[in-house]
Amino acid sequence: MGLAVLSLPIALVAFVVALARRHLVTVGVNEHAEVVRIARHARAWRVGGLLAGLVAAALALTVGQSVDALGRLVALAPALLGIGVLLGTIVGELTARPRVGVRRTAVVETRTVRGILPPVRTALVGVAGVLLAGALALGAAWGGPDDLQRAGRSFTQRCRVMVDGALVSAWSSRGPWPGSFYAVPLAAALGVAALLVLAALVAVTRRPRPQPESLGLDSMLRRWSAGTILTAALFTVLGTLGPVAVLIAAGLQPGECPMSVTQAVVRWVALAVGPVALVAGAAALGALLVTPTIRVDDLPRPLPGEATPVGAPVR
Amino acid sequence: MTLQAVTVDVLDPTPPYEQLRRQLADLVGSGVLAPGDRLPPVRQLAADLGLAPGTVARTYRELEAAGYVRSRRGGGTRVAPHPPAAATPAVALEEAAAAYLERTRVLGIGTDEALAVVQRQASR
Repeated sequence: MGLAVLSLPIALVAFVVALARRHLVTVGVNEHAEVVRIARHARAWRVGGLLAGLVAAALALTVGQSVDALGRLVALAPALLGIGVLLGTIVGELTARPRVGVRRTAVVETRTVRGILPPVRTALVGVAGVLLAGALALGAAWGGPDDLQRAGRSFTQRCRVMVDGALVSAWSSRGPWPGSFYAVPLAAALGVAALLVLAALVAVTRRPRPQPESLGLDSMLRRWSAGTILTAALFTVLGTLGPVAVLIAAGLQPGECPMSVTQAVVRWVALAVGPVALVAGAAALGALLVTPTIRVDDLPRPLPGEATPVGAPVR
Repeated sequence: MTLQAVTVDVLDPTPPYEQLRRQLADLVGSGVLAPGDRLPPVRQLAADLGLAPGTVARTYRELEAAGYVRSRRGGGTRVAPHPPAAATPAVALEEAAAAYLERTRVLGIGTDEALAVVQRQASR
């Protein structure tokens, strides 16, 4: 909860930056009418999904704490928001159908998911996904039972240390630790989110094309949609990775037992990854709130040779 | 590869699968679609044209039977390595004229009037 509150200013800054740099394409009135209609339809569903996801995430952060005081529901908040956006996108893309007339034209092409993926964001999602999978696997592998014997909720070390020339048994236990207690529900939610990402990308790819004269704009719309899907995935992964990395770094503190080299390396990596993931996740949330838009210019475009560069001719 | 388009007129007396077959055969036979080029997936082309997937599937089956394309499970439908050559322009013209006259017949227009319309259009 505290991390979520800390992330809000970063999300706000990212929102303002994304708003200032928003990709806006202006088309003339009566131009590309079908693409504009599809874009508005898909956007309405995506915004609806985003709002539903925000409500679900807010409920997980507030009510979730009272339902499960150990924070398993709170940990699912980023995934719930991402799933909301993805569900909205899927419904919007599946229900967006261009009008068909008596004479129908289609381009002879093979549309693929790979063809609409933005490379940089795809790589970011891939790297973040690998880091999160590694963090959850490592947390589950090193996790142990806590003082109430709840499996995978604590990081426990046992060792023998020299005290006054004699070897004595020592142990230390720190929690909460992102072991199986948290990793299993997180992995399940992230698995659902991954399937939804795939389904959303396929839905965007398979959406029927409108008239061929809008081919370029329609292709751009598909790339925008894929970009939004990946931003939702990026937020889900980073929003989960940040707290997991912070908990790993907090759990791997030097104590009674000395840390191994592997544990020291993991601690430093977690110390670096945690804040970066939180900041980047907040930035992804800010970017998610602002998506590229097609704006319809109310005034007719100037005719070739017309003196006025824009707008209606002067009478 | 330049993007090519196919058009289906649902009011045309020629069935949509045949309209589609003819255009794709022309694209393959004339070399616009080269051997190995992939044709759109059945569901994608059907959705883009607002047709039933079975209609497009029938087109692909007919093209495969005629040696224009090869379908492979999981690999999609691709232009065959040695597809039949394109019809000559004269044959294509004969086919277009036959299709035109077939349509005028369905509309209840006589041959003389149909020819007069062609001449009127040509003189414009």
